Amino acid sequence: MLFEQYYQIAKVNVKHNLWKYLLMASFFLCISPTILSIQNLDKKMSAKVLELFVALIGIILFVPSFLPENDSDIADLTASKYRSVAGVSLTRILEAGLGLLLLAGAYIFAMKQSGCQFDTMPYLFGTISEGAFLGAIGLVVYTVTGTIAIGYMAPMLYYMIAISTGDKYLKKFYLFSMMKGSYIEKYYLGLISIGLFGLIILIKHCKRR
Amino acid sequence: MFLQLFLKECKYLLHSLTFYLYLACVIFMYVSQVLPEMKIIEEPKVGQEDYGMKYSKDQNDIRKAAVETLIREYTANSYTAYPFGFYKRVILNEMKQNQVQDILLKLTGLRIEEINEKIEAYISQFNQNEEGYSIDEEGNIISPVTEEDTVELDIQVVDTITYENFLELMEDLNNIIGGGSNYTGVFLSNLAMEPRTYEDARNEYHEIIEKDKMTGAYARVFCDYIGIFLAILPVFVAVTMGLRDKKSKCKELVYVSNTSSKVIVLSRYLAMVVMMFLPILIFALEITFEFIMFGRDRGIAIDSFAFVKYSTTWLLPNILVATSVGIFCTEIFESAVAIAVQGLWWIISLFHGMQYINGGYSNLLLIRHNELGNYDVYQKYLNTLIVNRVGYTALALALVGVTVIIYEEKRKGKFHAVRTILSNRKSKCKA
Repeated sequence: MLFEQYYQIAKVNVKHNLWKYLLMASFFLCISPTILSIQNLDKKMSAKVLELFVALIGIILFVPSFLPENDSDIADLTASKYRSVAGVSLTRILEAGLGLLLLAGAYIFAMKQSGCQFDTMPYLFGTISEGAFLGAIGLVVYTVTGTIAIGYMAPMLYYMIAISTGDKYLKKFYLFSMMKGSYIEKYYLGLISIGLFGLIILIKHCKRR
Repeated sequence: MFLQLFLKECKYLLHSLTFYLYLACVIFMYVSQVLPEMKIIEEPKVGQEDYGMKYSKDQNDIRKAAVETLIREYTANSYTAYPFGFYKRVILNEMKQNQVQDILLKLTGLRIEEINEKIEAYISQFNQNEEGYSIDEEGNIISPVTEEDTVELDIQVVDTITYENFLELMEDLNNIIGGGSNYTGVFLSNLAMEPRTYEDARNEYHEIIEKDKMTGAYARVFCDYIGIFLAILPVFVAVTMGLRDKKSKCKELVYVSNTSSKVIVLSRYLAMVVMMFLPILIFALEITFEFIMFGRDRGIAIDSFAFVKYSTTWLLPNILVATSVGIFCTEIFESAVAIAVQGLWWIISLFHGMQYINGGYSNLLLIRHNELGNYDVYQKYLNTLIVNRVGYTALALALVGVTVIIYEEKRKGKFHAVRTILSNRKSKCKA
């Protein structure tokens, strides 16, 4: 019964919200051959493509997770439902995460098929942690401020700081560590994302109360 | 009325979190990126250990470096290209490899067998038995081939080929590879490097002091760094402002007001542009003041208006474009889709612009000039720069014009946002 309810919540989210962003993220990845090559890349270049480009789909997928509630009528309607807001939020976040996993996985598969040389699982993990981290920053900011533009702005600022200042200020939270052959930062990013998603659910829960 | 609305919008921006985030980011970039680059250049002294490297402008050096690179890439059938800033390894099919071979033969005037012999002789000296190598006390690997013994890859461009012919062949080569290769534009002129002499360093110093009046050179670096962020950040502010009426559910209320659409859209647009450009102008004035003080101490004549001039002509178009994309897309879609559009444009510009990082410019939104001085390049591509900036300013104004029309049509009820059209279509189907 409970599973059935969450299944319905997940289905409705895909039908009314997530599909647009899945489509947008797929489009983003599909146009990549026009701006970069994924043929016969070595480890460093593969990491560059994944960290600088592919991980950005995390922002596209996670940040608008609660966008339907931007309309106060819908927000009131969903708030009036018996089902816990934490469960609904978690379902949406997990769906976005699944979307990220599938799209990044498909892209990495395509890279492998094109002769790129890298360790699949660590690179997949690295891309997903970075994508989830950027998405989590955006989602937490959006949840707090209620302004979607700021939600997108925050992770983009982080990305810009990483590009322009390197690991000088970001240290263990540097986004592009795989390019330098280090994975430790990805564990930090992964852990922080989980923490941020927890925080988001807590904020949603508190807001409802 | 216009002024009243303009001031009201400015005031609203001062209460907007997005604007403060924009401000925080610009300040951070200014402090962390721009200020460290504003160290005053010292006059080079005779007898310094080295004066750095420079790109050789000697046509023979460029031809030699291009042929060597071509032989290396042709032998491995692996050509480097940066069509959009990202590295791309291009592998050619047999037909295209033969076309490259023809160009190589034309350039060198040799038969392919002769080229292969020379390559083999060159490579074989490095492929000796491992036993030939040794390790010294500091752990450095000592090659059995000493510098004196090294056989040079003695393949040159034949004298009968003029530099113009050479450039034509390079362009053909670039087309075969698919563009963005080592044999075109800035990439080609950056292939040959040579050590910089004292005279070079001194000339460059004097160029900065005399031709650029010092501040011109620094202003270009200032614009390079700040420009990267101004090509995207304004879109966030524009989207927030664009969605404000919808969020506060006063869209219809504004629609029925007496104020014309032109005044509403333009006052909002102008308020955003002015408010976002003001901090840049303040930074420009602050740096100018420091240079004025320095110039007074050292008796150097500086251009006191350089930072303001460059900021207005170089950076303002970035703000104009990003803001106009923001208001235009938000008016059409009534969603944050402008961020995706501008974000994608920014990423493409950023990575594609890497090939013009030290000047050279292009038709991209992001103009790069990440090298102090480089006055020759700036002068050479000044027209490209002017066309670029004027073009983007015109594009921004055109988008604002179209936004006014769309806004007017929406007020008349003749146009609905894409979002509304889609939801109405769904309702009809259900019905």
